[in-house]
Amino acid sequence: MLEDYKQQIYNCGRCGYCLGGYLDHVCPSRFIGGFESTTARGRMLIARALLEKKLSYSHELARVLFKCFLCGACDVKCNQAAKIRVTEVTKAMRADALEAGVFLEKLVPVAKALSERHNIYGKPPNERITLTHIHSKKIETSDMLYFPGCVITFRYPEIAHNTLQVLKAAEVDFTLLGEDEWCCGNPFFFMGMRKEAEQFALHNIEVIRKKGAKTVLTSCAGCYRVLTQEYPRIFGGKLPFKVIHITQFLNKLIKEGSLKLKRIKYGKVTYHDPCEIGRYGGIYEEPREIIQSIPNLKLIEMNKNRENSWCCGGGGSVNIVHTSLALSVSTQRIKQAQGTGAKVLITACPTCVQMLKLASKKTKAKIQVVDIAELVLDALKK
Amino acid sequence: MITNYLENTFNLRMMLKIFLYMGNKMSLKEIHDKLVEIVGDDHVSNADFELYAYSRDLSPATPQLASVIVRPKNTEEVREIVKLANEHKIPIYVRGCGCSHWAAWLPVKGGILLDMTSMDKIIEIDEDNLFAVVEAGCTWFKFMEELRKRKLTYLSSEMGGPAMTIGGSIIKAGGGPYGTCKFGFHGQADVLGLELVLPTGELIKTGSWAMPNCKPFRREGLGPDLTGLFIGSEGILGIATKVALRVRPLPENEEFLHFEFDNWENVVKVGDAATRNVGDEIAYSLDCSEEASKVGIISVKIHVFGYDKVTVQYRKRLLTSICQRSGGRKRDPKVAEDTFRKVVDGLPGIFASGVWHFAGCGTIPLYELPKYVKIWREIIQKYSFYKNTFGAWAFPRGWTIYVHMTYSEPDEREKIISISNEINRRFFENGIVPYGVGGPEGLQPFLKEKLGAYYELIRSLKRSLDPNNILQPGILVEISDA
Repeated sequence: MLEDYKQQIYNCGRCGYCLGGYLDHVCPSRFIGGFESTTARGRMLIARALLEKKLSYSHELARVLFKCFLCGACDVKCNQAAKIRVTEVTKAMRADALEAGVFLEKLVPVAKALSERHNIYGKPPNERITLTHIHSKKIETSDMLYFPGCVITFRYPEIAHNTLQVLKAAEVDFTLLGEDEWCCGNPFFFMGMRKEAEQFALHNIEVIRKKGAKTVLTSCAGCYRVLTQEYPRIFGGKLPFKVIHITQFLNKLIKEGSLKLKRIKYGKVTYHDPCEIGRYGGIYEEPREIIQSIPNLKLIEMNKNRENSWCCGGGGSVNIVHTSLALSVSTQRIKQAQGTGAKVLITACPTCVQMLKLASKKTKAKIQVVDIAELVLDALKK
Repeated sequence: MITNYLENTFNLRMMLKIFLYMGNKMSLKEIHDKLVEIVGDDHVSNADFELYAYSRDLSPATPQLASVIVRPKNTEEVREIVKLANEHKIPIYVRGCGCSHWAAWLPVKGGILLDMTSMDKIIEIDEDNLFAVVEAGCTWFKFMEELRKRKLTYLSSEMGGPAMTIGGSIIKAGGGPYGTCKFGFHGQADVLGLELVLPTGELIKTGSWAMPNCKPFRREGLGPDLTGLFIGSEGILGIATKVALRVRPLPENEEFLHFEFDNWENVVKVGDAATRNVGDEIAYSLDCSEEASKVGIISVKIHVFGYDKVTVQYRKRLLTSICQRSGGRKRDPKVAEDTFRKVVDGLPGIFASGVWHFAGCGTIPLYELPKYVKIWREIIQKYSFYKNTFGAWAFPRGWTIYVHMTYSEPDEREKIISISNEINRRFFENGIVPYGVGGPEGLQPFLKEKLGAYYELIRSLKRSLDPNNILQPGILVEISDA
């Protein structure tokens, strides 16, 4: 409910710090939108007018709300100013819009697929990755559970395969939920469908608990954010398992000596921080340490890195509603990556991989987009 | 009953607002369609939520809704919009990035609100003749960053946060602490020329730029200083579309000093010594402040820069000696460095977080500073309001002063307005020159009566250049007087 954020909304002094000095270099929403409604401070004025009943939700307003990538860049900026959680306010506006009966048509197929098949693509649940895809042996229970998420399962299964090959090399046992795995609920949160998101969260918590896993490992930044930040709130306390991102785990394995990485011929590489492990999760150094642990790999940072990173264009469900605009944000990131002179762009989120690959292909950029597990697997093979 | 209904019905209210002002026969839709023809439909919006997103600046002034928002991309589009508005007597308000703090662009009469931020290109940086031309919507931050890459700088004196645009800043004669002690506001004559669209749609350039095929290398052109006429005009006489600025090599040597003083009389001594040799001021920036919660503790930050190390070191020693002789206690110079680095980057690093309001902003003669501090202290005592700071930046033989207040909305809004009104009234009684006047909720109520014939001259200029009073009606000149 927007009402829950009333004081934060009133705290906005409209200083414009959220815009940065180049105006569209901080916020990808402003980059694609141009008008004040696509800025954090403009959205606070809209939120205030909604609270004061001067405005009501409309489809046109909803379309603007879905120009926000929820990347958190404005949150970082505003943390030095009025300390408003702009992304939370925006999500509350999306939820209230739905409550007011405003739901965008382009979101309907995704919502339907989720509700009926528990994944965003509407694929049969039995197509979820199972242990037989990976292992010759079947491990029903393990301390570690790998949670690939929808994008990896149905679009980039190679990320799961690469990840699990690396885990095997490190002699780490793991199990999977298979058909019991439901979408983490992130798209529901983005679409303002909180009740449904909570239902999915409770389902996943229950099946993970039943599996007896003590640690949930994920390669998806979105799943990581939802599992670590939304699930405990919905569960009402500490989860009965720990959640870690693949970058944290691989870095640990490398440091312990369980994975010995060799030279690979990638040359200069750069790294893209996924918003949902970076700004939301504070995971900045682990992926960089992994990259730097590979001999002869030279990491060159983009100007916009760590908490100042630019979104891949895949956040906030913007690509569902404004597909080409979202891709223009991805293209911008590819240009930034190319600016480093790197030939390989490494990242650690399947949605980032998807958007950046699309943009790279569209612009015929001479830069290869590589998931971090693929990088590590390559360095193990050579 | 019917009136109340209309008041609460957004679109009707908007339409009434614009029609009551214009008395013209064009419908809102027709205006919208014409604007779309000029700038394209992705640069025009009259969506209700968009109008709210553009309804406020940094001040506590009442939100004002435009009828339509337009984001022109170039000068020609601005000209076409102005011609349309002039023909149909539609008000136009001009907004940079919206950072004014005295309702300087709020559309009190509805109409078209121009968002100039799509015009943000740096057109030219002439590294030989040392001038640059930028579009009015370019920010100081962007300009300074691009200059820095070329080892150049502009004497940016503005302090409005990273989003502050150059056009907005110059048209309101904005100021800040950076470089002002040595060079004055905008380096006095470092605005070399303006490209302007007049209220009737003509395009002009000022300074040397006005001459055929001549570059904007010099502020002085043929006849009077017309650049100066528009600086501080608050947009009522023309819309700045491009700005030409003097740039100079980035000095490689700089030093920072930080002192603490017990009284402002001694701070004045430092300001006097720093600016006594007019034209050869020894400090680049001199920024002083006292928090209301710590009365009697005055922080004085000094920035010295120069092209040769020996001079900078000499000036640093000299200023240190002056401060110490005047009773200043040495403090960590990193604090001063941090402040000056943040001037262009953003205010949040300088002021406490929250909703801000600025009152009593303007310039005063060098030796009158303690008088204003006394008034400020009396007022904060009277209201028991301690979430504020008194600040002063030196410029050659004077100070720019301000009171920065932090408050919470909506609870403290009325109180902050009362305090602010009292500060403004008392400061004006004592002769302060304000940065700008703004709209009805800006400083108009305090100034009109006092300005007399000068106000009449501004009115006459407005009438002759803008016979239909379409540009910024209600700003600087009261709507009924235009």
